[in-house]
Amino acid sequence: MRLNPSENILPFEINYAQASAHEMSRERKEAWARYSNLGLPNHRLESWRYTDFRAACLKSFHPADKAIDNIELVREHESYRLVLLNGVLRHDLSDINLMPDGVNVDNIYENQSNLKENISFNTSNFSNLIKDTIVDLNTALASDGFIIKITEGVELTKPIEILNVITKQCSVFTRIFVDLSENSRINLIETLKNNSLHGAQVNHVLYAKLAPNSGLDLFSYLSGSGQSCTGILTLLAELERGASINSNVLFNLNGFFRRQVFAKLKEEHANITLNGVVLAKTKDHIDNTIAVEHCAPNTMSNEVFRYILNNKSVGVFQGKIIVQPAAQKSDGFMQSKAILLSDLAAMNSKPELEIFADDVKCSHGSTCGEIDKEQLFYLMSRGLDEQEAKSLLIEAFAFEAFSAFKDDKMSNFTKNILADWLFIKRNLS
Amino acid sequence: MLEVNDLHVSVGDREILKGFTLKVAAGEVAAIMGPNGTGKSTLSYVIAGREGYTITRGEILLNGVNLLDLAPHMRAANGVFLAFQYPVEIPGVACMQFLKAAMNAQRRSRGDEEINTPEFMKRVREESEKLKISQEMLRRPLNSGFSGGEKKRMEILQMALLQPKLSILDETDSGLDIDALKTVSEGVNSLRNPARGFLIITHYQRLLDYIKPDTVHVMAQGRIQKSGGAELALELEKHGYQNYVSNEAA
Repeated sequence: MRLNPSENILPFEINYAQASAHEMSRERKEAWARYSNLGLPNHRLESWRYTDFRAACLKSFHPADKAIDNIELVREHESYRLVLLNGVLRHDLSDINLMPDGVNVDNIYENQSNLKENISFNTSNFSNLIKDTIVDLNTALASDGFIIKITEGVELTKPIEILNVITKQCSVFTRIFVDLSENSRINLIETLKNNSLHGAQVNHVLYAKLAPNSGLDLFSYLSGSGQSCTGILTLLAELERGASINSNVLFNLNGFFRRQVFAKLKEEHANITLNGVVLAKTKDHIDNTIAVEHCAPNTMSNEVFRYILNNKSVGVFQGKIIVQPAAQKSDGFMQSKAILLSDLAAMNSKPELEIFADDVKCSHGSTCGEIDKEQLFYLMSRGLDEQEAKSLLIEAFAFEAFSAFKDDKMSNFTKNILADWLFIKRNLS
Repeated sequence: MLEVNDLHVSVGDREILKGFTLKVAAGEVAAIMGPNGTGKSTLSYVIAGREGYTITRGEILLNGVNLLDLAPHMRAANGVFLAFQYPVEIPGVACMQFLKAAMNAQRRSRGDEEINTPEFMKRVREESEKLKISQEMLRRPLNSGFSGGEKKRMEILQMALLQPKLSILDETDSGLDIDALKTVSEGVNSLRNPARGFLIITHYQRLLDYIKPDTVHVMAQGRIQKSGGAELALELEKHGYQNYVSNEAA
């Protein structure tokens, strides 16, 4: 059934028209066919009931023109940087040729119109978890991105950074495929910076495939000074024996956004940590939706999220842990907590456990409320004024979610962002 | 120093303090004793400025300043310190971070310079040793998972660092074993000086064996029923509060 009956034109049809002017791969055509059949997900789908994406994308933006804009980008991290500007790779700003041995970076769009015929665009492994067309839309329309292949045994200390910058009103479809060979390990920083003053639409997919005993430390930072950004960031993760992902996400942008994670712990001792902090300022809508599937014994998943919701902002947390019959002795933990700083802010939280094995440990917890008055009074009775006391409590609350940070630099980076956010908030209130 | 005059305080429709009047001079240690539910903790919270109480009449003066006009943090800056009966656990805030924030906040409110880190570390080390507080404990989040004794010692450490003019100890002896009681009492005694007043709220004589009061006040049914010297505490230990409660009821 087509879910957009009232509209004559499917959102993003123009993007497809442009993309299909060139020859397209079979995967892309099929993905577009699935999308045009179902349309964008809306609130009638259970997993989109709190985040009506179709309503948020009634008007779809065009892709950016290919004009080369002059832009100065400050280096915020010491990293191997790869820059996508308004959805298009910028060779001149990227360190593609400076990558160390054992790291192979390819542009997905290199062979002209076609995406490379690569497993990275076959997402059928996730078909039991994904019930909508967001990833299909990305497969069909991805205008640029990278394939990052890490050789067996290579461990990078300096992070690789994917910097996705938006400077004008446009729609952006980007795709990253990270392929970690056995015993390799990298730090990846994924930054989305929306500086468009006239809105932007983003659909970004990171597909991480982890061979046995490989590791990915991922820090995703969504930020920018621009106006309302509507978007979806998807993480697809497949983990083999003993592989591990440690992911931290920090939201600090204006807009309507969802980050969704679909993870498969395919073999024994694979483990994933998915933590996040949401700083919502005004009328933002921020959604974290996670589905982790434990397919094998002794797999572990851990999710801790903190929402700090100001003014009229809305938070959504949906976490699903699926434990398949074979996945005995698995351990799944999920927790989301929200502080509402205004009477108009709202939080929607929906944990789900689907357990088909009998010897597992799974738990979830969710709370939502104001700043604890007893804690506030205690701090004030020691001399801290109300704003300072609140800031200290909010900072402590947020950092419960970032306790898994392995990298001090990243930890300090987030601390500074939080301090800035609290400072701005304090001066506005 | 402290003057509480004809204080009437209600929570909802219920009046808890009914014309409470008390004076504590500089250098004086005043003990307030009384049965459960008589408003002792309410008194300490109202002096410190906790929300949720309606003050219908009266005033609380500290060195001439009416505390009721001030927010809790300004009362602290003016020298009020309440050692909580149940210190609040604050996960995620490290003890050291909190101690420094509190010291500096008070200094800023008073217009003084902030303390520098080496000086701060030195002061914390000195005072924590006296109270047998380990460095490991100071690295933990504030009061999180602390035992009853650890929490009370942390309160006294804060008192020692903040150097208040008026210290209120709200049932500091509750939940303490004999050794912890001694440590805490020694900590308090070392802070006694001619400029500082103490208000010690307790049910039992026991704490007053270690911290010798100058005056003892019996509180029942929302006000002081009788005042005297240290000997009054011993009399209470013998006869209980029965006389004071029934007097009031009659």
